Amino acid sequence: MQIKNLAVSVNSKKIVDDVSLTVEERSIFALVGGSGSGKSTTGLAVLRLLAPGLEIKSGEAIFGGRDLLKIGAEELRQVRGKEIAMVFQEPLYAFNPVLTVGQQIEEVFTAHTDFLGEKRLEETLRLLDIVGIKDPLRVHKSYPHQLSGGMRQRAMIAQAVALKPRLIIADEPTSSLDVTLQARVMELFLKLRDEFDLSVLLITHDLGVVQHMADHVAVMNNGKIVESGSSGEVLKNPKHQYTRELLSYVS
Amino acid sequence: MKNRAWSQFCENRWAVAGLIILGIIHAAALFADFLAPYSFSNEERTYSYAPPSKIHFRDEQGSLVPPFVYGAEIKFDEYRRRIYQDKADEKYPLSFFVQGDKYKILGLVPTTIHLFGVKEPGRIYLWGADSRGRDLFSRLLHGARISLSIGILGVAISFSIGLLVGGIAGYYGGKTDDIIMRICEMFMMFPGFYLLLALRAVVPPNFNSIQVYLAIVVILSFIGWASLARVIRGMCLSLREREFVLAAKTMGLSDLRIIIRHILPHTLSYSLIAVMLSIPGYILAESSLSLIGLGIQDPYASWGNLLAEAMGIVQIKFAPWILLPGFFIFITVMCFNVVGDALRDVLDPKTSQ
Amino acid sequence: MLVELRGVKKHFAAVGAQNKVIKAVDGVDLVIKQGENLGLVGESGSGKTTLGRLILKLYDADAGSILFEGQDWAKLSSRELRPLRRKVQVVFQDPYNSLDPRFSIRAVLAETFLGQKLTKAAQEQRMKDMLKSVGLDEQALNRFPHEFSGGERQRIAIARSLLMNPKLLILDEAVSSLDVLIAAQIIELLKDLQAQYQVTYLFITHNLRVVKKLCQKIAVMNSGRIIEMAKTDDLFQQPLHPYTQELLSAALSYRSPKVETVYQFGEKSVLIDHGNGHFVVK
Repeated sequence: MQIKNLAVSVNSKKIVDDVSLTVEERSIFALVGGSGSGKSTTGLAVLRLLAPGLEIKSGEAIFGGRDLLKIGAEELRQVRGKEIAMVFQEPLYAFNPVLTVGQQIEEVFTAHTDFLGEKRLEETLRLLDIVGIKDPLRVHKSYPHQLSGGMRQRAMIAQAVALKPRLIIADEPTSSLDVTLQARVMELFLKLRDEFDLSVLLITHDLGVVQHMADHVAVMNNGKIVESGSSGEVLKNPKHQYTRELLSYVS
Repeated sequence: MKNRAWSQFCENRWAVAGLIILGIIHAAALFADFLAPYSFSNEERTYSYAPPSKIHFRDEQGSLVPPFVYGAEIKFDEYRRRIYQDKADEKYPLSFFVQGDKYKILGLVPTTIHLFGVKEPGRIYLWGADSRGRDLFSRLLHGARISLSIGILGVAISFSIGLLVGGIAGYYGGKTDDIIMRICEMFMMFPGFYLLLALRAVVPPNFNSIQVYLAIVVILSFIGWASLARVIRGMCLSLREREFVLAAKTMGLSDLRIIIRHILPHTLSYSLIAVMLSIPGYILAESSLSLIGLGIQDPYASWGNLLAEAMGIVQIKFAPWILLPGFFIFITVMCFNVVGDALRDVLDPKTSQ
Repeated sequence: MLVELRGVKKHFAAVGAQNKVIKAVDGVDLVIKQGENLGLVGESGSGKTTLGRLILKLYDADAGSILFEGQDWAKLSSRELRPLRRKVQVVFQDPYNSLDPRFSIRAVLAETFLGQKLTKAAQEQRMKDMLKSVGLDEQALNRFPHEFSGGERQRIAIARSLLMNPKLLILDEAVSSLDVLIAAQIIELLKDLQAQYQVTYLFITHNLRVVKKLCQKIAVMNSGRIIEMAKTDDLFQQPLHPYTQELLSAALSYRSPKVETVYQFGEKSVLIDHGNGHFVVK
């Protein structure tokens, strides 16, 4: 996926300004910045999920030869479900509280495949197993609030990869988790990349989280990308003052 | 937030219409003495079941004159029923801000000025008269006072009890909660109307009108608080775990203060909806009591005991206007329900969609 | 001795399962000294938040005793307890939940003066001074919680707590929902305020990195027990328990744990002194 000169504004104030980045096939791209830097907005803008009031001023988001910012609603729906999946920070709010986790993962198959009931259950359990849930059957039957934060996050990732998307946009997927779980969820993304051949656009405020796994890092501040490059390069040899500041807090 | 809710509410035309109608009815009740040409007990028995007076704007020659009504000539038909005919030679001009029965504006300033009326011995019956020749329009306005105020006062009392009791049960939980909830269930177990009758039977028969009025208010609130207390208790159970409540606790604030200042305000939008939707119940309960003669007693008027006159088929046939109180009960109840429903859609995102 | 915990236990009935209890806190001995900040570190489910709430007397302990300045609060009536509560204050994790959304900042802060005889002008002055110390403008008084960012709200929560003149301030994951830059600023602020307000911090967190700069002593919790306790430098340089080592590597180098992270403890496991105030569970 390639984002070119993306600009988003609210009340004619630019909160994302001329952002360009390229997520290569089978790579993990980390978009790093403090709160209010515009990193989440960038991720949401790509799937046209911006809150009312936020407006895409210009730019392109090329994915599979199409510009996601220009395609029709039905085509966009197909892309959203099947080709690009999203993982949010707080999985408790991303799940519907009155349906079981299993029902909600199966729902994805109902909407996008012609799998029958038994096949759906089988696939769902397999996914839960892949994301490292030891007791898939129990989780399948549980309601979101009955699971721990880490479990919920895994279940949401399982839902995200259900249709074998080519790209996952993960917005602060570990920020609400314990440090020990953060590392585990990060490793899960690496595993999924290999298993499903997908790319990950990882949006986070914590440079430390990405240091072992991102191939590419872009640092955002005040709506602009201030530094970008291969993760080894950026982390070892930060050029911009803001990157250095971010790094100083994690070492 | 508030503005958004308000503009959303305004999009619902039925609700806005309901709110306006409720406003008019309540304002009319508040200024009943002034708006009504007669007091509730002003009777003129010769005018039993007099039909609504026609207000004329033109004289016999067809030229425009200030509005007036004719005097009535009363004849009897073969069943000795009264037949009212206009007396062409008796004209009573309709005038505004006229002297009439004594009253006090809002219970404070004594005066005798009424919005409109005609000179004695003429009578103006805008919406007809009842069996004792009392003006139904005036009695409806005075009745609105009692019917509506019983609704509002009853709700106010039962909701204060319900909020506080529910708040206490939810905040403390445990045994306190168990005991209070069992008591609530006891109240909710009895069918409302029979409980109403039973409690009414306890009230001594020699009470005067004001005492009866207050007794009815107390009885109604006594029945109504339990269901609200249950819901509020449920909300408080979850609110008491919220961190700002815990913070208030560690600050050493008293429990009562925490309940009133930090917990109950968060149940406000629910309570507001519940209030709107339960006022009709109180109005109907008062009307039912008065209709069967256990409520407000003549000569005082309430919509219920006004409607009691319409219990005979003969009266309805020859004086259909005595059904008007029923119409007002219907309209008011409908308006409260429509406004309450709209409020729920706006304030309670869980049920709207 | 500011706070002393002796054999404190708190069990909860498990939701949905009969006869099953969750041993949230299962026999904790702990001492917090005046001026010596303590970091209480553990994963979710380790009982660290419950322990904090026991000290705050939001829960009653099932067994053991908690002495605050030598006094057992469990033995006091609620009337006697209420004025004492000022001495232990708390800042919660979620800044969106810890301020009553219906209260203006002035109302939030003014509530701390209840029961004190202060003139309106004196209250106003104290509120303004306090906002200044936590790095906020006095204009904030007229605004409402939703108008502030997460970091600013935590500053307001800290201001409210400090206005009570507490001896102990419990910070329950107080920076966990903030991004690294803001979190670092809050930690700096807490350090600055400590001397001025003569307060001791109990910092509850899952992230060892967060408490490194602020706390002199760290206790690691797991399954309702304290499994290692040491001076901060000792613990960082020489973690003895394998779980502490995992926590450290997760916090500092983002390596995921290799060992099972939930432990079972018997009645007999006790803290063994390894010298220099370094205790490890056995």
